[in-house]
Amino acid sequence: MAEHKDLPPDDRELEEFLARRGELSRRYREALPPEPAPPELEAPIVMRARRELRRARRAPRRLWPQRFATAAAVLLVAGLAWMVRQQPLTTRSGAVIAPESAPSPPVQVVPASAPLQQQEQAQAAAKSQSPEVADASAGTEVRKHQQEQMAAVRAAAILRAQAKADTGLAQEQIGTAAAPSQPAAAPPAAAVAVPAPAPPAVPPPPPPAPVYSSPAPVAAPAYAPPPPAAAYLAAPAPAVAERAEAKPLAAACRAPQRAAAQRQAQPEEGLASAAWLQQIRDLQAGDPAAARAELACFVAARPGDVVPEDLRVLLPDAR
Amino acid sequence: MMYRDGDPLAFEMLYRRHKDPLYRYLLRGCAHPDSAAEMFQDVWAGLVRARAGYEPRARFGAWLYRLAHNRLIDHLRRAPRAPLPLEEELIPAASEHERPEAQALAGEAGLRLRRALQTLPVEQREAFLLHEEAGLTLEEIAEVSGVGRETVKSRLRYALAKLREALADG
Repeated sequence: MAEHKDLPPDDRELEEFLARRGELSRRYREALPPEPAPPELEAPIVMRARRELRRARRAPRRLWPQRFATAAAVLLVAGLAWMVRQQPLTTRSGAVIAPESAPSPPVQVVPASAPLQQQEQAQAAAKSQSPEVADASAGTEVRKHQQEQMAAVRAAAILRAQAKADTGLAQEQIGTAAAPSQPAAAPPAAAVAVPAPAPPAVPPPPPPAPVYSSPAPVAAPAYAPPPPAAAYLAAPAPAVAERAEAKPLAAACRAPQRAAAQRQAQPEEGLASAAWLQQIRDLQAGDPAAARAELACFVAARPGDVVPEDLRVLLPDAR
Repeated sequence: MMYRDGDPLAFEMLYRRHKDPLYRYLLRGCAHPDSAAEMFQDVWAGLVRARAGYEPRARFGAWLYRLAHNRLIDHLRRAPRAPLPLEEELIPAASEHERPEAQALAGEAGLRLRRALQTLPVEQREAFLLHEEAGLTLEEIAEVSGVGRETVKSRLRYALAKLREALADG
Protein backbone atom coordinates (compact mmCIF):
# COMPACT_ATOMS: atom_id res chain seq x y z
CA MET A 1 0.00 0.00 0.00
CA ALA A 2 2.94 2.33 0.58
CA GLU A 3 3.90 1.87 -3.02
CA HIS A 4 0.34 2.54 -3.99
CA LYS A 5 0.29 5.88 -2.14
CA ASP A 6 3.52 7.02 -3.77
CA LEU A 7 2.07 6.81 -7.23
CA PRO A 8 0.69 9.93 -8.91
CA PRO A 9 -3.07 10.17 -8.70
CA ASP A 10 -3.51 9.20 -12.29
CA ASP A 11 -1.37 6.12 -11.96
CA ARG A 12 -3.12 5.22 -8.73
CA GLU A 13 -6.46 5.44 -10.38
CA LEU A 14 -5.15 3.39 -13.29
CA GLU A 15 -3.82 0.69 -11.00
CA GLU A 16 -7.16 0.46 -9.21
CA PHE A 17 -8.99 0.39 -12.50
CA LEU A 18 -6.80 -2.43 -13.79
CA ALA A 19 -7.38 -4.33 -10.56
CA ARG A 20 -11.13 -3.73 -10.88
CA ARG A 21 -11.19 -1.94 -7.56
CA GLY A 22 -11.66 1.56 -8.87
CA GLU A 23 -14.59 3.84 -8.11
CA LEU A 24 -15.05 4.46 -11.78
CA SER A 25 -15.43 0.77 -12.56
CA ARG A 26 -18.07 0.46 -9.85
CA ARG A 27 -20.04 3.40 -11.11
CA TYR A 28 -19.67 2.12 -14.68
CA ARG A 29 -21.18 -1.22 -13.75
CA GLU A 30 -24.01 0.46 -11.84
CA ALA A 31 -24.85 2.94 -14.57
CA LEU A 32 -24.61 0.51 -17.43
CA PRO A 33 -26.03 -2.86 -16.48
CA PRO A 34 -24.71 -5.82 -18.43
CA GLU A 35 -26.73 -6.09 -21.57
CA PRO A 36 -26.92 -9.62 -22.99
CA ALA A 37 -26.40 -10.47 -26.61
CA PRO A 38 -29.65 -10.80 -28.56
CA PRO A 39 -30.79 -14.41 -28.18
CA GLU A 40 -32.02 -14.59 -31.76
CA LEU A 41 -28.43 -14.36 -32.95
CA GLU A 42 -27.31 -17.54 -31.23
CA ALA A 43 -29.02 -20.13 -33.39
CA PRO A 44 -27.69 -19.05 -36.79
CA ILE A 45 -24.18 -18.60 -35.42
CA VAL A 46 -24.08 -22.05 -33.85
CA MET A 47 -25.58 -23.65 -36.95
CA ARG A 48 -22.99 -22.02 -39.16
CA ALA A 49 -20.21 -23.30 -36.93
CA ARG A 50 -21.53 -26.86 -37.15
CA ARG A 51 -21.96 -26.63 -40.91
CA GLU A 52 -18.39 -25.45 -41.29
CA LEU A 53 -17.14 -28.39 -39.26
CA ARG A 54 -19.03 -30.84 -41.45
CA ARG A 55 -17.64 -29.21 -44.56
CA ALA A 56 -14.14 -29.40 -43.18
CA ARG A 57 -14.53 -33.11 -42.55
CA ARG A 58 -15.63 -33.69 -46.15
CA ALA A 59 -13.12 -31.39 -47.83
CA PRO A 60 -9.95 -33.48 -47.49
CA ARG A 61 -11.48 -36.31 -49.52
CA ARG A 62 -12.02 -34.02 -52.50
CA LEU A 63 -8.55 -32.61 -52.55
CA TRP A 64 -6.75 -35.66 -53.80
CA PRO A 65 -8.48 -35.99 -57.18
CA GLN A 66 -7.98 -32.28 -57.81
CA ARG A 67 -4.31 -32.51 -57.03
CA PHE A 68 -3.81 -35.49 -59.26
CA ALA A 69 -5.69 -33.82 -62.08
CA THR A 70 -3.62 -30.66 -61.74
CA ALA A 71 -0.38 -32.59 -61.74
CA ALA A 72 -1.44 -34.62 -64.78
CA ALA A 73 -2.42 -31.50 -66.70
CA VAL A 74 0.88 -29.84 -65.92
CA LEU A 75 2.81 -32.88 -67.08
CA LEU A 76 0.81 -33.10 -70.27
CA VAL A 77 1.35 -29.47 -71.15
CA ALA A 78 5.04 -29.69 -70.40
CA GLY A 79 5.41 -32.78 -72.56
CA LEU A 80 3.61 -31.21 -75.50
CA ALA A 81 5.66 -28.07 -75.26
CA TRP A 82 8.85 -30.09 -75.25
CA MET A 83 7.76 -32.11 -78.26
CA VAL A 84 6.82 -29.03 -80.24
CA ARG A 85 10.11 -27.45 -79.43
CA GLN A 86 12.02 -30.44 -80.72
CA GLN A 87 10.32 -30.57 -84.13
CA PRO A 88 11.98 -28.59 -86.97
CA LEU A 89 10.02 -26.33 -89.29
CA THR A 90 9.04 -27.89 -92.59
CA THR A 91 7.11 -26.74 -95.67
CA ARG A 92 4.32 -28.59 -97.40
CA SER A 93 6.74 -29.96 -99.94
CA GLY A 94 8.89 -31.27 -97.15
CA ALA A 95 11.82 -28.91 -97.58
CA VAL A 96 13.20 -27.53 -94.41
CA ILE A 97 13.35 -23.79 -94.48
CA ALA A 98 14.05 -20.99 -92.12
CA PRO A 99 12.12 -17.83 -91.77
CA GLU A 100 14.81 -15.81 -93.54
CA SER A 101 14.50 -17.69 -96.78
CA ALA A 102 10.96 -16.67 -97.59
CA PRO A 103 11.05 -12.96 -98.08
CA SER A 104 9.98 -10.90 -101.04
CA PRO A 105 13.05 -9.48 -102.55
CA PRO A 106 12.91 -5.98 -103.98
CA VAL A 107 12.80 -5.47 -107.70
CA GLN A 108 15.03 -3.29 -109.74
CA VAL A 109 14.97 -2.33 -113.35
CA VAL A 110 17.78 -2.62 -115.78
CA PRO A 111 17.52 -0.40 -118.80
CA ALA A 112 17.40 -1.89 -122.23
CA SER A 113 20.90 -0.87 -122.93
CA ALA A 114 22.24 -2.54 -119.88
CA PRO A 115 25.51 -3.89 -120.92
CA LEU A 116 25.68 -7.47 -121.87
CA GLN A 117 28.58 -7.86 -119.58
CA GLN A 118 26.42 -6.88 -116.66
CA GLN A 119 23.81 -9.46 -117.47
CA GLU A 120 26.36 -12.14 -118.04
CA GLN A 121 28.00 -11.33 -114.78
CA ALA A 122 24.76 -11.65 -112.97
CA GLN A 123 23.90 -14.93 -114.60
CA ALA A 124 27.36 -16.27 -114.01
CA ALA A 125 27.14 -15.28 -110.41
CA ALA A 126 23.82 -17.02 -110.13
CA LYS A 127 25.12 -20.15 -111.73
CA SER A 128 28.27 -20.14 -109.71
CA GLN A 129 26.40 -20.24 -106.51
CA SER A 130 25.96 -23.55 -104.88
CA PRO A 131 22.66 -25.20 -105.68
CA GLU A 132 22.59 -26.98 -102.42
CA VAL A 133 20.54 -24.67 -100.37
CA ALA A 134 18.43 -27.22 -98.70
CA ASP A 135 18.56 -25.59 -95.34
CA ALA A 136 17.98 -22.12 -94.05
CA SER A 137 21.62 -21.27 -93.42
CA ALA A 138 22.61 -22.01 -97.03
CA GLY A 139 19.77 -19.86 -98.37
CA THR A 140 20.84 -17.01 -96.19
CA GLU A 141 24.39 -17.25 -97.43
CA VAL A 142 23.24 -17.31 -101.04
CA ARG A 143 21.21 -14.17 -100.58
CA LYS A 144 24.07 -12.51 -98.82
CA HIS A 145 26.40 -13.38 -101.69
CA GLN A 146 23.95 -12.06 -104.19
CA GLN A 147 23.65 -8.81 -102.32
CA GLU A 148 27.37 -8.39 -102.39
CA GLN A 149 27.43 -9.00 -106.09
CA MET A 150 24.64 -6.55 -106.56
CA ALA A 151 26.53 -3.91 -104.71
CA ALA A 152 29.56 -4.47 -106.92
CA VAL A 153 27.50 -4.35 -110.05
CA ARG A 154 25.82 -1.22 -108.81
CA ALA A 155 29.11 0.49 -108.28
CA ALA A 156 30.36 -0.51 -111.70
CA ALA A 157 27.15 0.68 -113.29
CA ILE A 158 27.45 4.06 -111.61
CA LEU A 159 30.93 4.49 -112.99
CA ARG A 160 29.83 3.54 -116.46
CA ALA A 161 26.89 5.87 -116.28
CA GLN A 162 29.06 8.74 -115.30
CA ALA A 163 31.43 8.02 -118.14
CA LYS A 164 28.61 7.85 -120.64
CA ALA A 165 27.12 11.05 -119.37
CA ASP A 166 30.35 12.78 -120.04
CA THR A 167 30.44 11.54 -123.61
CA GLY A 168 26.78 12.50 -124.18
CA LEU A 169 25.46 8.96 -124.72
CA ALA A 170 22.99 9.09 -121.81
CA GLN A 171 20.19 10.47 -123.94
CA GLU A 172 20.56 7.65 -126.41
CA GLN A 173 20.18 5.20 -123.57
CA ILE A 174 17.08 6.95 -122.37
CA GLY A 175 15.54 6.84 -125.78
CA THR A 176 16.41 3.23 -126.14
CA ALA A 177 15.09 2.39 -122.73
CA ALA A 178 11.83 4.18 -123.34
CA ALA A 179 11.02 2.19 -126.45
CA PRO A 180 8.14 0.06 -125.35
CA SER A 181 8.10 -2.50 -128.08
CA GLN A 182 11.63 -3.57 -128.25
CA PRO A 183 11.61 -7.26 -128.94
CA ALA A 184 13.71 -9.48 -126.90
CA ALA A 185 16.26 -10.26 -129.49
CA ALA A 186 18.70 -11.56 -126.99
CA PRO A 187 18.75 -11.93 -123.34
CA PRO A 188 21.00 -9.00 -122.66
CA ALA A 189 19.29 -6.51 -124.91
CA ALA A 190 16.18 -6.29 -122.86
CA ALA A 191 14.73 -4.46 -119.98
CA VAL A 192 13.94 -6.88 -117.37
CA ALA A 193 12.77 -6.72 -113.86
CA VAL A 194 14.63 -9.05 -111.71
CA PRO A 195 14.54 -9.52 -108.03
CA ALA A 196 17.52 -8.21 -106.25
CA PRO A 197 18.60 -11.19 -104.28
CA ALA A 198 18.17 -13.58 -107.14
CA PRO A 199 18.72 -17.19 -106.28
CA PRO A 200 21.25 -19.24 -108.15
CA ALA A 201 20.56 -21.24 -111.26
CA VAL A 202 17.73 -23.62 -110.85
CA PRO A 203 16.38 -26.45 -112.83
CA PRO A 204 15.11 -25.76 -115.38
CA PRO A 205 17.74 -23.39 -116.63
CA PRO A 206 16.82 -19.75 -116.50
CA PRO A 207 15.14 -18.65 -119.65
CA PRO A 208 16.20 -15.56 -121.47
CA ALA A 209 14.98 -12.36 -120.01
CA PRO A 210 12.34 -11.05 -122.31
CA VAL A 211 11.30 -7.49 -122.77
CA TYR A 212 8.04 -6.48 -121.33
CA SER A 213 6.31 -3.46 -122.57
CA SER A 214 2.96 -3.71 -120.88
CA PRO A 215 1.58 -4.47 -117.55
CA ALA A 216 0.89 -8.00 -118.67
CA PRO A 217 2.78 -10.56 -116.74
CA VAL A 218 6.10 -11.40 -118.18
CA ALA A 219 7.80 -14.73 -118.21
CA ALA A 220 10.90 -13.30 -116.76
CA PRO A 221 12.39 -15.43 -114.16
CA ALA A 222 15.66 -13.71 -114.57
CA TYR A 223 17.48 -15.48 -111.87
CA ALA A 224 20.28 -13.07 -111.82
CA PRO A 225 21.12 -10.28 -109.54
CA PRO A 226 20.22 -7.10 -111.15
CA PRO A 227 22.13 -3.99 -111.63
CA PRO A 228 19.89 -1.68 -109.97
CA ALA A 229 20.32 1.97 -109.11
CA ALA A 230 22.75 2.58 -111.93
CA ALA A 231 19.94 2.24 -114.38
CA TYR A 232 18.09 5.06 -112.72
CA LEU A 233 21.10 7.28 -112.91
CA ALA A 234 21.62 6.57 -116.59
CA ALA A 235 18.02 7.05 -117.68
CA PRO A 236 16.05 9.41 -115.55
CA ALA A 237 12.56 10.40 -116.71
CA PRO A 238 11.72 7.76 -119.19
CA ALA A 239 13.15 5.16 -116.92
CA VAL A 240 10.37 6.00 -114.55
CA ALA A 241 7.99 4.29 -116.91
CA GLU A 242 10.15 1.26 -116.88
CA ARG A 243 10.20 1.25 -113.11
CA ALA A 244 6.46 1.51 -113.00
CA GLU A 245 6.18 -1.37 -115.38
CA ALA A 246 8.74 -3.30 -113.50
CA LYS A 247 6.78 -3.30 -110.31
CA PRO A 248 4.07 -5.68 -111.37
CA LEU A 249 6.63 -7.88 -112.98
CA ALA A 250 8.72 -7.64 -109.85
CA ALA A 251 5.80 -8.78 -107.84
CA ALA A 252 5.24 -11.56 -110.27
CA CYS A 253 8.83 -12.70 -110.11
CA ARG A 254 9.03 -12.71 -106.33
CA ALA A 255 7.25 -15.94 -106.14
CA PRO A 256 9.57 -17.54 -108.66
CA GLN A 257 12.41 -16.61 -106.40
CA ARG A 258 10.83 -18.33 -103.49
CA ALA A 259 9.85 -21.31 -105.56
CA ALA A 260 13.28 -21.36 -107.10
CA ALA A 261 14.85 -21.38 -103.72
CA GLN A 262 12.74 -24.31 -102.81
CA ARG A 263 13.53 -26.09 -106.02
CA GLN A 264 17.19 -25.63 -105.36
CA ALA A 265 16.70 -27.88 -102.45
CA GLN A 266 16.07 -30.72 -104.90
CA PRO A 267 18.28 -32.05 -107.62
CA GLU A 268 17.61 -30.47 -110.98
CA GLU A 269 16.92 -33.71 -112.69
CA GLY A 270 14.62 -34.85 -109.95
CA LEU A 271 12.16 -32.01 -109.88
CA ALA A 272 9.08 -33.37 -111.48
CA SER A 273 6.59 -31.26 -113.32
CA ALA A 274 3.95 -32.37 -110.90
CA ALA A 275 5.87 -31.01 -107.97
CA TRP A 276 6.43 -27.74 -109.79
CA LEU A 277 2.78 -27.46 -110.58
CA GLN A 278 1.91 -28.18 -106.98
CA GLN A 279 4.12 -25.34 -105.89
CA ILE A 280 2.29 -23.10 -108.31
CA ARG A 281 -0.99 -24.17 -106.73
CA ASP A 282 0.36 -23.35 -103.31
CA LEU A 283 1.36 -19.92 -104.54
CA GLN A 284 -1.98 -19.39 -106.18
CA ALA A 285 -3.71 -19.44 -102.82
CA GLY A 286 -1.57 -16.72 -101.32
CA ASP A 287 -0.11 -14.74 -104.21
CA PRO A 288 -1.87 -15.12 -107.55
CA ALA A 289 0.49 -12.76 -109.32
CA ALA A 290 3.46 -14.78 -108.27
CA ALA A 291 1.65 -17.94 -109.29
CA ARG A 292 1.08 -16.53 -112.75
CA ALA A 293 4.71 -15.65 -113.13
CA GLU A 294 5.75 -19.05 -111.96
CA LEU A 295 3.36 -20.72 -114.38
CA ALA A 296 4.83 -18.66 -117.14
CA CYS A 297 8.23 -19.96 -116.20
CA PHE A 298 6.90 -23.46 -116.21
CA VAL A 299 5.40 -23.06 -119.63
CA ALA A 300 8.62 -21.60 -120.95
CA ALA A 301 10.73 -24.31 -119.42
CA ARG A 302 8.44 -27.24 -120.17
CA PRO A 303 6.66 -26.38 -123.33
CA GLY A 304 5.73 -29.97 -123.86
CA ASP A 305 3.90 -30.36 -120.56
CA VAL A 306 0.22 -29.75 -120.38
CA VAL A 307 -0.98 -27.17 -117.94
CA PRO A 308 -3.68 -28.62 -115.63
CA GLU A 309 -7.11 -27.17 -115.91
CA ASP A 310 -7.11 -25.68 -112.46
CA LEU A 311 -4.04 -23.65 -113.31
CA ARG A 312 -5.05 -22.55 -116.75
CA VAL A 313 -6.81 -19.59 -115.27
CA LEU A 314 -3.39 -18.20 -114.55
CA LEU A 315 -2.31 -18.25 -118.15
CA PRO A 316 -2.37 -14.96 -119.98
CA ASP A 317 -4.68 -16.42 -122.54
CA ALA A 318 -7.23 -17.21 -119.92
CA ARG A 319 -7.86 -13.54 -119.17
CA MET B 1 -8.49 -26.06 -29.54
CA MET B 2 -11.21 -28.58 -29.10
CA TYR B 3 -13.35 -26.69 -31.55
CA ARG B 4 -10.41 -26.32 -33.93
CA ASP B 5 -10.01 -30.05 -33.86
CA GLY B 6 -13.64 -30.53 -34.80
CA ASP B 7 -15.66 -30.60 -31.58
CA PRO B 8 -18.94 -28.69 -32.17
CA LEU B 9 -19.86 -28.64 -28.48
CA ALA B 10 -16.64 -26.79 -27.75
CA PHE B 11 -17.82 -23.97 -29.95
CA GLU B 12 -21.11 -23.67 -28.14
CA MET B 13 -19.29 -23.51 -24.84
CA LEU B 14 -17.03 -20.75 -26.10
CA TYR B 15 -19.96 -18.87 -27.54
CA ARG B 16 -21.94 -18.83 -24.32
CA ARG B 17 -18.95 -17.74 -22.30
CA HIS B 18 -17.98 -14.79 -24.47
CA LYS B 19 -21.13 -13.68 -26.24
CA ASP B 20 -22.36 -11.07 -23.77
CA PRO B 21 -19.08 -9.22 -23.16
CA LEU B 22 -18.35 -9.30 -26.83
CA TYR B 23 -21.73 -7.86 -27.68
CA ARG B 24 -21.36 -5.07 -25.12
CA TYR B 25 -17.89 -4.27 -26.38
CA LEU B 26 -19.22 -3.87 -29.92
CA LEU B 27 -22.37 -2.06 -28.80
CA ARG B 28 -20.56 0.50 -26.67
CA GLY B 29 -17.90 0.84 -29.27
CA CYS B 30 -20.27 1.92 -32.02
CA ALA B 31 -23.41 2.90 -30.03
CA HIS B 32 -25.76 1.37 -32.62
CA PRO B 33 -27.56 -1.87 -31.77
CA ASP B 34 -28.11 -2.85 -35.38
CA SER B 35 -24.48 -2.31 -36.29
CA ALA B 36 -23.41 -4.09 -33.15
CA ALA B 37 -25.55 -7.14 -34.03
CA GLU B 38 -24.14 -7.25 -37.54
CA MET B 39 -20.58 -7.01 -36.34
CA PHE B 40 -21.32 -9.62 -33.69
CA GLN B 41 -22.30 -12.15 -36.33
CA ASP B 42 -19.35 -11.23 -38.50
CA VAL B 43 -16.90 -11.77 -35.68
CA TRP B 44 -18.20 -15.25 -34.93
CA ALA B 45 -18.30 -16.12 -38.60
CA GLY B 46 -14.70 -14.99 -38.92
CA LEU B 47 -13.77 -17.09 -35.95
CA VAL B 48 -15.40 -20.14 -37.51
CA ARG B 49 -13.46 -19.64 -40.73
CA ALA B 50 -10.18 -19.00 -38.99
CA ARG B 51 -10.40 -21.72 -36.41
CA ALA B 52 -7.91 -23.89 -38.28
CA GLY B 53 -5.28 -21.19 -37.88
CA TYR B 54 -5.71 -20.76 -34.14
CA GLU B 55 -2.54 -21.38 -32.17
CA PRO B 56 -2.66 -21.60 -28.37
CA ARG B 57 0.06 -19.00 -27.95
CA ALA B 58 -2.36 -16.52 -26.44
CA ARG B 59 -5.58 -16.72 -24.53
CA PHE B 60 -8.64 -17.41 -26.59
CA GLY B 61 -10.20 -14.16 -25.37
CA ALA B 62 -7.34 -12.09 -26.75
CA TRP B 63 -7.65 -13.82 -30.11
CA LEU B 64 -11.42 -13.33 -30.19
CA TYR B 65 -11.18 -9.63 -29.34
CA ARG B 66 -8.50 -9.15 -31.94
CA LEU B 67 -11.07 -10.23 -34.51
CA ALA B 68 -13.64 -7.95 -32.87
CA HIS B 69 -11.22 -5.02 -32.75
CA ASN B 70 -10.46 -5.32 -36.46
CA ARG B 71 -14.12 -5.55 -37.32
CA LEU B 72 -15.01 -2.55 -35.18
CA ILE B 73 -12.24 -0.43 -36.64
CA ASP B 74 -13.40 -1.31 -40.15
CA HIS B 75 -16.92 -0.26 -39.24
CA LEU B 76 -15.83 3.02 -37.72
CA ARG B 77 -13.68 3.86 -40.71
CA ARG B 78 -16.57 3.31 -43.05
CA ALA B 79 -19.08 5.25 -40.90
CA PRO B 80 -17.07 7.48 -38.60
CA ARG B 81 -19.68 10.19 -38.27
CA ALA B 82 -22.76 8.12 -37.67
CA PRO B 83 -25.17 10.10 -35.49
CA LEU B 84 -25.50 9.09 -31.87
CA PRO B 85 -28.66 7.10 -31.07
CA LEU B 86 -31.61 8.70 -29.35
CA GLU B 87 -31.46 9.05 -25.61
CA GLU B 88 -34.34 6.65 -25.20
CA GLU B 89 -32.39 3.94 -26.92
CA LEU B 90 -29.43 4.51 -24.65
CA ILE B 91 -31.33 4.03 -21.42
CA PRO B 92 -31.82 0.33 -20.79
CA ALA B 93 -35.06 -0.99 -19.40
CA ALA B 94 -35.01 -0.79 -15.63
CA SER B 95 -35.41 -3.87 -13.50
CA GLU B 96 -38.72 -4.29 -11.61
CA HIS B 97 -37.09 -4.48 -8.19
CA GLU B 98 -35.29 -1.13 -8.50
CA ARG B 99 -36.76 1.93 -6.82
CA PRO B 100 -37.88 4.75 -9.04
CA GLU B 101 -35.27 7.13 -7.67
CA ALA B 102 -32.51 4.67 -8.19
CA GLN B 103 -33.79 4.02 -11.62
CA ALA B 104 -33.76 7.69 -12.43
CA LEU B 105 -30.29 8.19 -11.07
CA ALA B 106 -28.95 5.15 -12.79
CA GLY B 107 -30.61 6.17 -16.03
CA GLU B 108 -29.20 9.65 -15.90
CA ALA B 109 -25.71 8.50 -14.98
CA GLY B 110 -25.83 5.83 -17.57
CA LEU B 111 -26.82 8.38 -20.15
CA ARG B 112 -23.96 10.65 -19.24
CA LEU B 113 -21.56 7.75 -19.21
CA ARG B 114 -22.63 6.56 -22.63
CA ARG B 115 -22.30 10.05 -24.02
CA ALA B 116 -18.91 10.40 -22.46
CA LEU B 117 -17.84 7.09 -23.94
CA GLN B 118 -18.91 8.17 -27.38
CA THR B 119 -17.04 11.43 -27.11
CA LEU B 120 -13.81 9.61 -26.29
CA PRO B 121 -11.39 9.06 -29.16
CA VAL B 122 -11.70 5.60 -30.63
CA GLU B 123 -8.38 4.38 -29.25
CA GLN B 124 -9.15 5.47 -25.70
CA ARG B 125 -12.68 4.09 -25.81
CA GLU B 126 -11.39 0.77 -27.11
CA ALA B 127 -8.72 0.48 -24.45
CA PHE B 128 -11.29 1.18 -21.74
CA LEU B 129 -13.84 -1.32 -23.08
CA LEU B 130 -11.27 -4.05 -23.71
CA HIS B 131 -10.45 -4.03 -20.07
CA GLU B 132 -13.79 -3.22 -18.57
CA GLU B 133 -15.93 -5.48 -20.76
CA ALA B 134 -13.53 -8.10 -22.13
CA GLY B 135 -11.35 -8.32 -19.02
CA LEU B 136 -8.08 -8.20 -20.96
CA THR B 137 -4.78 -7.32 -19.30
CA LEU B 138 -2.55 -4.43 -20.34
CA GLU B 139 -0.36 -6.75 -22.39
CA GLU B 140 -3.34 -8.33 -24.12
CA ILE B 141 -4.85 -4.94 -24.87
CA ALA B 142 -1.53 -3.88 -26.36
CA GLU B 143 -1.43 -6.98 -28.54
CA VAL B 144 -5.00 -6.59 -29.74
CA SER B 145 -4.57 -2.91 -30.51
CA GLY B 146 -1.17 -3.36 -32.07
CA VAL B 147 0.55 -0.78 -29.91
CA GLY B 148 2.93 -0.80 -26.96
CA ARG B 149 2.09 -1.32 -23.30
CA GLU B 150 2.90 2.22 -22.31
CA THR B 151 0.72 3.57 -25.08
CA VAL B 152 -2.18 1.58 -23.70
CA LYS B 153 -1.55 2.94 -20.22
CA SER B 154 -1.51 6.47 -21.53
CA ARG B 155 -4.78 5.94 -23.38
CA LEU B 156 -6.40 4.49 -20.28
CA ARG B 157 -5.31 7.46 -18.14
CA TYR B 158 -6.92 9.92 -20.49
CA ALA B 159 -10.07 7.82 -20.80
CA LEU B 160 -10.46 7.51 -17.05
CA ALA B 161 -9.95 11.23 -16.55
CA LYS B 162 -12.61 12.14 -19.08
CA LEU B 163 -15.11 9.62 -17.77
CA ARG B 164 -14.52 10.80 -14.23
CA GLU B 165 -15.29 14.35 -15.26
CA ALA B 166 -18.45 13.22 -17.05
CA LEU B 167 -19.72 11.40 -13.97
CA ALA B 168 -18.76 14.24 -11.65
CA ASP B 169 -20.83 16.75 -13.57
CA GLY B 170 -23.96 15.02 -12.67
